[in-house]
Amino acid sequence: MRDDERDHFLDELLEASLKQYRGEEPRAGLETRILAGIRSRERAARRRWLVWAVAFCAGVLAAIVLMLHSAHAPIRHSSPSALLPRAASEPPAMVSQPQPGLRVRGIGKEPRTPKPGGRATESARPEQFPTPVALTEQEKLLLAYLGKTTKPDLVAGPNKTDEARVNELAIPEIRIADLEIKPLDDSQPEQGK
Amino acid sequence: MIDAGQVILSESVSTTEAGRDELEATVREQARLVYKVAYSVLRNHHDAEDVAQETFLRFLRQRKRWPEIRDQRAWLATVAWRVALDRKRSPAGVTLEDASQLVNKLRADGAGVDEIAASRQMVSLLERLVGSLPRDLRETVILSTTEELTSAEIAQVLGIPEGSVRTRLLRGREILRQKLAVLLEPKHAR
Repeated sequence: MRDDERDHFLDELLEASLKQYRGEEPRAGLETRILAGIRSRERAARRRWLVWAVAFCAGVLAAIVLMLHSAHAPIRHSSPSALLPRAASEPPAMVSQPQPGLRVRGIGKEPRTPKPGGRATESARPEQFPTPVALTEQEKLLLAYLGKTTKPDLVAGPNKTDEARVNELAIPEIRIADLEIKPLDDSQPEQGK
Repeated sequence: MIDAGQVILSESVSTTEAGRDELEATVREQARLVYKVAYSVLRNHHDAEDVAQETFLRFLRQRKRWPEIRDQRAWLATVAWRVALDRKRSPAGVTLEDASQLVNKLRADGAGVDEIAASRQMVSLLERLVGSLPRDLRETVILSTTEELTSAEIAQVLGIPEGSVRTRLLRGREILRQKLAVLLEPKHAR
C-alpha cells in the first residue's frame, strides 16, 4: 500500500514537473519584437551592400579619371625623334650655318630672351616638334652608306675572322734566316763525369 | 523538399512587399511554436527569443524556396531546434544531490505535488535528469514538452519514424521516473 502511494506520488510529480518544464508562455509582443529584429537586420544588410556598391563605383570612377588623364597628358620622349633634323621653319641663322655632326636638342641655339607678349609667340610654335631641318653632309653620307650596305654585312662587320683582318693589314712578307747548327767539339772535356 | 539544415547564412536579405506580408503572417502564426521549441532546449526567455528571430530570418533568406516547403510548421520547428542546440550552454551548476535534498525538504514540509513541481528546485532537478538521458531519448522528451508539436511533427524534426517517437518517449519517461524515485527516496534505492 505504501509502495502504491509512493508510485502514485512519483507519477503525479513527474507529470506535473514535465508540464512545468514546458515553460512559461512567451512575453507579450513576441511577434512584434521578432519582426522588428528582422527589419533592423535587413536594413543593416542593405546598408552594408550600399557601402560596398558605393566603394566599387568610386573605384571604377577613379580608374576612369586616371585613364583619361594619362591619355591626355603630354608625352615627353627622349627618343631618337628628338635627334631628327630640324625643319626649314627654324630661324634663318640656324639654317644658313649648319653645324657638322648630329645635332642635339638645344645645342647651337641662341640663349632665350624674354619676348614681349609671350602668349602670342607660343601660338606661333610649329605643330611638329622637333621641327625637321635639312640633312647635313655627314648625315647624307651615313644614309647613303646604310642604303648600300645590307643588314648581314653590317652585323658581320665587327666580327670578321682573324685571317681577314691580317689580310687587311697588308703586312710585308716575313723572311726567317736559315739556322746554322755547328757540330759538337769532341776535344772539350766531358762535364759531370 | 527543402531541408531545413540547408540554410545559407551569407545570402543577403531583401524582401518584396508580398514576401514581407507573407513573412509577417508566418511570424504571427508560428512565433509561439518556434519560441517554445527554442525554450525547451535553452530554458531561457532571452535566448529563446533570439533563436526565434534567427529562425525567421533564415526562413526569410529562403524565400525563393518557400513553395518547396511542404510543412512550414515542421520546417520552422526543425530550424529552431537546430539553432537552439547550437546555442545551448551547459546548465547552471546545481548538483543533483542539492536539488533532490531541497525537493525532499519541500515534501517533508507538507508541500503538495503541484507546489513541489512549480518550485525552482524541482525544475532544476528535472532539467538535470533530462540532461542525463541518452541523446535520442533526451531529444524526444524535450520536444514532447512543446505542446504545439504532434508526434508526427516531432518525428519530422528528428528525422525518425513516428512509432520511434512514442517508444523513445515511453522509455525516456520511465528512466526519469526511476531516477526521480532513487533521488527522492534514498532508502528505496538501497
